Amino acid sequence: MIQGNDVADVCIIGAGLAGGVMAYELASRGLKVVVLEAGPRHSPEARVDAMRELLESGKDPWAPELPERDVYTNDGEIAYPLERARVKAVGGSTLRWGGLALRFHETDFQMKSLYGLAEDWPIRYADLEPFYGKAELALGVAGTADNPFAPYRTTNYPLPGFPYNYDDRHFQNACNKLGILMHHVPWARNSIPFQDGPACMAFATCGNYGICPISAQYTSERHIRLAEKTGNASVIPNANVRRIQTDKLRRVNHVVYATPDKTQHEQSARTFVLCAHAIESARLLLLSASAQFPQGLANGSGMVGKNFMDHLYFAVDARLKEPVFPHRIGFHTAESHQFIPTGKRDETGTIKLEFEVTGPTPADVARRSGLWGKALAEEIRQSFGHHLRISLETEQLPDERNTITLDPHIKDHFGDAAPRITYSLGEYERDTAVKGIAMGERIFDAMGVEEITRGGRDSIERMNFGKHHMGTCRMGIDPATSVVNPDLRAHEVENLFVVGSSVFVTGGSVQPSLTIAALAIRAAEFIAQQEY
Amino acid sequence: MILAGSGIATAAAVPSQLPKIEGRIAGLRRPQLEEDSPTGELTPREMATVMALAEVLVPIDGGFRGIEEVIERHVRQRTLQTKGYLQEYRKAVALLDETAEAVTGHGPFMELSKAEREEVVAALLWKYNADDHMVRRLERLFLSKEGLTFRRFIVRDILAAFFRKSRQAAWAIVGYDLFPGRPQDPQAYARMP
Repeated sequence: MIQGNDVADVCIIGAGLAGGVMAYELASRGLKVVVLEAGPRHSPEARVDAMRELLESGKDPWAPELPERDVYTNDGEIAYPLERARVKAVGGSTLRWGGLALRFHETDFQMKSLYGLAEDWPIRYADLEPFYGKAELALGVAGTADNPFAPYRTTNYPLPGFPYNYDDRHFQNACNKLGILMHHVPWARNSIPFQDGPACMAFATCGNYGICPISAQYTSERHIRLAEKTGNASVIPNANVRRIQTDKLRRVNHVVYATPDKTQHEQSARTFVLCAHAIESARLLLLSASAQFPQGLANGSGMVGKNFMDHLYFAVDARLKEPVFPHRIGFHTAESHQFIPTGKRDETGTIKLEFEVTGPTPADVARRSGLWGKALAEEIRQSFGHHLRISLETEQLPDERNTITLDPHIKDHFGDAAPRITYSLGEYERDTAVKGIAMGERIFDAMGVEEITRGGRDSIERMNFGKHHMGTCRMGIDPATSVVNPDLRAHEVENLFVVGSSVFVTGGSVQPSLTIAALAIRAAEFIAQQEY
Repeated sequence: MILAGSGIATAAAVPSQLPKIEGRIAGLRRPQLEEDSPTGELTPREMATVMALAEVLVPIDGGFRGIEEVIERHVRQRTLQTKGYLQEYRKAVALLDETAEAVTGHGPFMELSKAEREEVVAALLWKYNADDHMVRRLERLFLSKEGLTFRRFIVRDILAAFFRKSRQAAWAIVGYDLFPGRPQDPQAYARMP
């Protein structure tokens, strides 16, 4: 077992999805790996108590213990929120994620050549397809291959899919009338026992509440554990990396990290992999500016921090006369990807339809109303179990004006410049939203709902972010316009790799996690082939 | 002032430029906890008054005995651990006794029948349904400061305790015996309950 101060073969910064998968893939090939994680290591054994505490007192189990570490600022047209949008801990944001494990569509990799928009990725879907299969196996994806709009696949889903929700029949009937095809959804959640995790027991706390008490839903803690079991990997929690230091040959020789008490440490390695997500990866490269790299490490192109993206969510809600039965599970089971591989993507972006059996809980009704006693009970009975939602996940194009930079005034707990987010949306995103919302309303009209309770302008004004932070360290062939090459190696620093959604060139309109895992496995295979 | 109903007509009359002003006024009137005030325990009489209130607030018919203990424990923890709450609960007890006298001509609140206690609470708070956004907004502007404080720190605290800590009783209102946080047959959601 490698110790913190020994020279590792590979030092991974960040123990989230990319870092966890990389750690296992590298350690299982015999490389000595050290993983530095800024946040703590939560005990999976304490998760039932954490869930109970969350339900009983509202205590967020993933809230930062050191809030000053995570300060950030905004200066764009839109204030982009980071609260509850990322988790710094072993497991990273997979501790709170929804669990959707979808492949990007073929067209997502070729936006410029097919539609004249943004840029093409330097790799194609075909390059990544084998790694998508490996990622599905690694994450334990439960799926049903009935989505005719999905990209081709050469492997089966490793676990059987989750059946439709009883109330999905309402969506099914409406979609049938409109010629929209509904299909199942692949989840990184155990439909049967898998690896060291049990099958889902429908605690129904994985979605809105963000916690699975029995680890039936994948978190990258699983890969960290597997990496440690090889005897080749160590994880150092509460190790906040502050700088990446290079030598005269412009190679990284060590990183400097600090523990919460501000004690500084160094970690040397032959190869370094930055897996700190789109905001912190860019920030760390910028913080690591030096005489050799005056604009920031690996930032000769000036592209570090640029093209920050997310997916935009718009909800269309409706009330049905007949009862539905929400909150029996924590995730949705039906979607339509019919509007993802659209042929007219140059005018509006792709739209993914998520069909949700949801609506207010009894507590929500109590919170929103000014009632009590019998009147409140009556209101709860009237309001509960009559709502459905169509969530529209839409695409955002990369835009160089959307950036992560260093705030010149605000410092974090360690005295380092806080990330500053500059964010806005363009006509493309707005037009996509309008089109998607109208589509959602048509489906509810076809369903014959009693009332559309959220739609039109209201849906736009109450837009949500997917919390899928992407871009900022774009991959590409040209060092003048990208940060890493197709192998995810920094153009300017031979032994530095950046892995995660930060390297995405475009964001498509499905959740990024499976693509992050696929890229991580691909990068690990490449790194493992290097000579050590 | 008691205002019930949807308030739709009032909503239409509110000019569009008002939200900013409204937000400022509501902000100024927003009740704040006095964080310098001490923590501690309510007296048995004060706690009995709070429980008499809780019985009126919780949305269940009968069976209050079963959840009284849960709410009492919550209130005790609250006044012992969160600065400002002991004072607010004491102020609420005084307000309830005072309003009981004014509304029914006798008191104290804890000795009134449940119907009388409901009448007292109705005199302190506006009623509005979950989708009556305008009434909710107007309440923030026009309900008495005491009423706002009572709503924000006492009524919401007791109801939140009920919904969070007596989840079985809370979900039973809609006929659910299994609910988020309780494991169940993982295929049950695919069938009609």
